[in-house]
Amino acid sequence: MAELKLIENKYTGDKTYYYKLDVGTDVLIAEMPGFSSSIAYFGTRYGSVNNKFKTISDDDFIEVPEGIAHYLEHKLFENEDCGAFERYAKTGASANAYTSFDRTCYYYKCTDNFYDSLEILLDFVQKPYFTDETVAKEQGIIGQEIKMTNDDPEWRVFFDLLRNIFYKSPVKIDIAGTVESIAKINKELLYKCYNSFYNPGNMVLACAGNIDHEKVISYAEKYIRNEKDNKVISEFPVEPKEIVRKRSESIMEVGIPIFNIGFKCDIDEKTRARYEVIADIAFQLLTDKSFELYKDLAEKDLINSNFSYEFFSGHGYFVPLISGESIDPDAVNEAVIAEIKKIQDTGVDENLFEEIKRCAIGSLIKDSNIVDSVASKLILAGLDKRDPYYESNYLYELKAEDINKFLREKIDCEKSSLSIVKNKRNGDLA
Amino acid sequence: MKYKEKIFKNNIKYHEVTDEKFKTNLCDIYFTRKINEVKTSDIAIASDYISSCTEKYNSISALNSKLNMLYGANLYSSISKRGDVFLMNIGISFIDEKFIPEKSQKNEELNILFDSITKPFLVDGEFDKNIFELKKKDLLDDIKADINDKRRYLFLKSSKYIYKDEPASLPLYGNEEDAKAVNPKSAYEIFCDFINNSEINIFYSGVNDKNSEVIEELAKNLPESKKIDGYISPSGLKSELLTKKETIHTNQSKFLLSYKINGIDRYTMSLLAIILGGTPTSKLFLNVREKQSLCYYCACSYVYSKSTLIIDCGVEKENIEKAKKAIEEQVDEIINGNISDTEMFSAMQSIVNSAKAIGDTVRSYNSWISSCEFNNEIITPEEMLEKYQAVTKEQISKVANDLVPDTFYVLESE
Repeated sequence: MAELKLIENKYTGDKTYYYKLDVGTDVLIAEMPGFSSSIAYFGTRYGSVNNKFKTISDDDFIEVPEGIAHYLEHKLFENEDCGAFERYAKTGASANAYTSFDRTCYYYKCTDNFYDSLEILLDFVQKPYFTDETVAKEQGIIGQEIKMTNDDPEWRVFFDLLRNIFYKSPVKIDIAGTVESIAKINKELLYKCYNSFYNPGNMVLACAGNIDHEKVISYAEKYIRNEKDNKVISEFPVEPKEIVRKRSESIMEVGIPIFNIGFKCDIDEKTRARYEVIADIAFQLLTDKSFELYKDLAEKDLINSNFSYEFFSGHGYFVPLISGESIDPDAVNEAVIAEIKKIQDTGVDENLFEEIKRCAIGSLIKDSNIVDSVASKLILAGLDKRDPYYESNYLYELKAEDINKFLREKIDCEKSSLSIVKNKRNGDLA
Repeated sequence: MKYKEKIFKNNIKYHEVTDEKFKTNLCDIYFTRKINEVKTSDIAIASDYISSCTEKYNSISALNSKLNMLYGANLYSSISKRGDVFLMNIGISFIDEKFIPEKSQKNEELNILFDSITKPFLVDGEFDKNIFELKKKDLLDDIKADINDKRRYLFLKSSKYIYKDEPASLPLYGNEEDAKAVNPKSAYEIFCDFINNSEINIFYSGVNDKNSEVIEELAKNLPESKKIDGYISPSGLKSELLTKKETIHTNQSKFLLSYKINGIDRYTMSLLAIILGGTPTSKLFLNVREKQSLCYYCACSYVYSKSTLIIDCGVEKENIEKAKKAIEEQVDEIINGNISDTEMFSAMQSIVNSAKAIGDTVRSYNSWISSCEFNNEIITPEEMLEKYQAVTKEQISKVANDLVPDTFYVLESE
């Protein structure tokens, strides 16, 4: 019999209940009394990168078309009797789903009938129903979604960066695939992917809001099917440590050129969580308005207030990046690299580090008071098999030297790349 | 939850909501004036400037540093339109002192907020040239970047025609020429004139009422509030559908179809919009997307302040007319009374969900109360729900029948 654990954030006092079902599903619940909304996520560790895999019953790895994880997410909402949205319409929940590089999550938000909606969520996600007709119908819809995202310059500049950085990693493949790749998807392949990855042992249920943890667990026990672990594994190509190219340019309809500067980092999976927290602080510091880099570039008219950072990471990839708009992205890139090299020598300013750390702590406190943020963080932590409060645990103890060490040891400017999207009218920059 | 309303001595209306479950506080100060009386480019730059520096923290980095040290207090500004009114909002969100044990000075965040308006950083009686130029560049870049988000671009371009010859047709930030003409002196003078002749409202949501007196004291330094109207200004009907087409270098075409109605019927029209295209069980989603696979999105919204219904869609170029026809067929369905119990229930549930969620964040309280104030109808979410629940299918069919096709704006892919 599994043990119910209560995990407490020793810095903020927030609490999460954790329970592992016998079938292997992880359940995380944050009770937030006094709030009206509640949110439930049911997610699987399956995304666009998992395009080559096998289970215990397969002789060999199989490779599937790009975009199939996302296609499957769309199709799961349909059912033989009644689609999921029609069912949610009766309980009043507002539902949606998303597919990312390494996960697919189905969720709903409601103010009433939480448990009725929970039953719907757990039911429809576990009842795939694909036919040749319904699969064919989705081609047009997802085709339009692909075209819509292909018209988004922010999406383009980011994926161009991924293609600059990664030789073989499937993370550079567009999550929705292409119009050509999705044309190869059929119901047999969808069932294969579903049966391989939507196994209870590979899934997480995360809930937050005005709910009772015992009742959530009882629903999970009742509605999550009893199925043996199929031990699905994905195969990933060996990715060289080097990058593909230092620079790329694409032409699209944009105002002024937009850019991403990304860094390919070699991070061990065991330490990835901690480095995510460190990288977040390091790059927030680098792009902060109090920092010399921002002031210098702004005074030279090379950036505007959209100068920012983000990072994305998963199993086998870790890319912090700086983004913005500039009439001369190359000059910005040069300045960013020079500044990083300088800090690698001198270290970060302690006062600025303290400022950024405080700012990050403030963000955590704010987020802990918002049902949507709490639920979102729970599902992500659950899918990555992390302590729900890993961010606090690392952040509060962080020192400036941790940032310095990260920048020195994990950021190699030779493994950075610049991607630019500009309007053909921008022509020659400068 | 506790709600309090007060009118300060300078006629400023103060709304306060407190709720012990919160960890943060939020204070928004709105200045509103009729759009055609406002030099919007000057105010756009001025509002950005004053939220970036103050007399005490007289550089971007100094203020930024201070806010970082206040655990990421966020001082922000925004401009918007509502009906024929222009709104400038300066606000601050911050962690309550209950959660910051080592906080040395009380009320620093609120002081920064009010100082940003009453004690901006000036050099020789005008905005500092260096900081001003950075903010001006931000605005010019934003204007150029309007095209980046194609869906938003469609709404911006079509507004000029939907609200033709009305103040609401004026671009929010002004155009590039207007923005280039702004200088530190003009921006400051226009800013002073703007706030001295605006209606002023303060909205505060937070953990408790400990900040009430401080806010009242600080608000004494603000100008006298003037009463304005125009928050709700139904847009004029056209005698025939106005069609405009623009070519754009994209993979996907987009179009917008707007309808108008005589008078205002907020609750009926809002329900109509949701039934038509506001949920995944709406008519447009089920028929235009799911049955005909014509699009990924086909959505409908009701702009209450202009009494305008807007439908927008992203489609393959060769399917533009087919999708338009499919949309019109769904409007006809509603006119003919074909609204199922499920559709009605689903639309109501969507509203119930939204209404009951008000109060889960400080932002939602401020949005709700400010919306009530500008609609000149302070009601609780429960009272609003009663009004929606009183709407019948017949009433929805009737307003659908009264809809007048207005504008068809197409961004056609090259």
